[in-house]
Amino acid sequence: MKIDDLKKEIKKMRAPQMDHTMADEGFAAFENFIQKLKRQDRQDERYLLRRIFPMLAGLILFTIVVAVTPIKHPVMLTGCILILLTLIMMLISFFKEYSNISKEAFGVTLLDFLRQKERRLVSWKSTPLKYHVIFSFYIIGVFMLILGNTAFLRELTSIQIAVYLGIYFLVFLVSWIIGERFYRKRHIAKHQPLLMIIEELKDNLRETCCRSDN
Amino acid sequence: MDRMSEKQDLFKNILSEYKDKIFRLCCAYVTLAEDRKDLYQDILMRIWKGLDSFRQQSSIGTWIYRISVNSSIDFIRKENRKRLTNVQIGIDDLQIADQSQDTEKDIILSEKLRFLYECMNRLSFLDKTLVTLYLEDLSYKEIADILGISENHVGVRLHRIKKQLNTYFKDFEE
Repeated sequence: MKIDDLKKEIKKMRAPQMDHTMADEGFAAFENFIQKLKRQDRQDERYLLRRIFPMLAGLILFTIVVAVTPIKHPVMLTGCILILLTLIMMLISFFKEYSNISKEAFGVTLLDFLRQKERRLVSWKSTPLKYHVIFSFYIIGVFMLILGNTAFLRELTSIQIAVYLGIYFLVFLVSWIIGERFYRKRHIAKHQPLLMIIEELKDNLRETCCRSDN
Repeated sequence: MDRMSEKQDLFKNILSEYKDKIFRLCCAYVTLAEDRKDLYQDILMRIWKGLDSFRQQSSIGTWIYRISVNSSIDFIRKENRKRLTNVQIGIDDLQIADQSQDTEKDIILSEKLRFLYECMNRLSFLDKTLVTLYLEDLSYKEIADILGISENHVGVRLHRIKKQLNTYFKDFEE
């Protein structure tokens, strides 16, 4: 028995007769499968909506609130502009991120696929700095909005308010750090095995190049 | 004819021509029948999704094989986890088409194919891919286009794999 002798034999193996392998079973089964695929497409769109919708809703609500609130202090105005800008930037980032996901090219060479996949997985190891910066500006905007409020400014002399604000800020900061730690842990558990496979494969491909070049 | 029905027709043609080839590729990577079915469906799903962006820069065959190989990498992570609990290789449920009336012949054929896949399981992902594409009668150039390496590299590597597999086969015959 030789590997070349098996070329003919192996072609006798066929895909199992599943409901979507329409070719031999008529059009109805194929239609069925197409429906499944279309459902999957719709699921992808819903994923996009789940990510984008809260941001969009926040943007609209905030615009309404700003429109009906009298802005009497320049600090408040700056806060409003900051919040609005960060929400818009977040929205654009999510759209860009989504288009990158849907663009994941499976029709490229194995080597290119590995490179792209590795680059994406490594760059997602932690929340991109861009998101931290945008979120920081958002929070600064919120604080400016509160601080610029004349009613709040009247009460600012009270130590109690300063303590509340301090505690709120501290809790917020701690939960931010913990969230980031969990995100990294989850990412490593999920993607590390795949990254190892990619590394091994890239080594294999490199090894091929080196050995034949020698 | 609208775009959707054009896409459906193209997909239908792809399925009738490539479904068995895709499935044979799945057999090389995944040992459990259930996983093979999942991988097979996953690949078909990605072909459907990718049809809109197919630019005909490469032949449709090369494009389909690329999607199949690349999708398998995503799948292998899941399969690797299962392998810890499922060490057994189960290729008993291979579908053999055009079964002859000669049961003995069919048994020998299944036995040979099962052994081939057992041997292929000892190879690395890259070597498995190379040998599967070679068994599908693809030229060195086509294999190189799928993997992104030169024809020369494909030749060198295949030569080494064939030698290795032929040694396994000798053991089988003895």
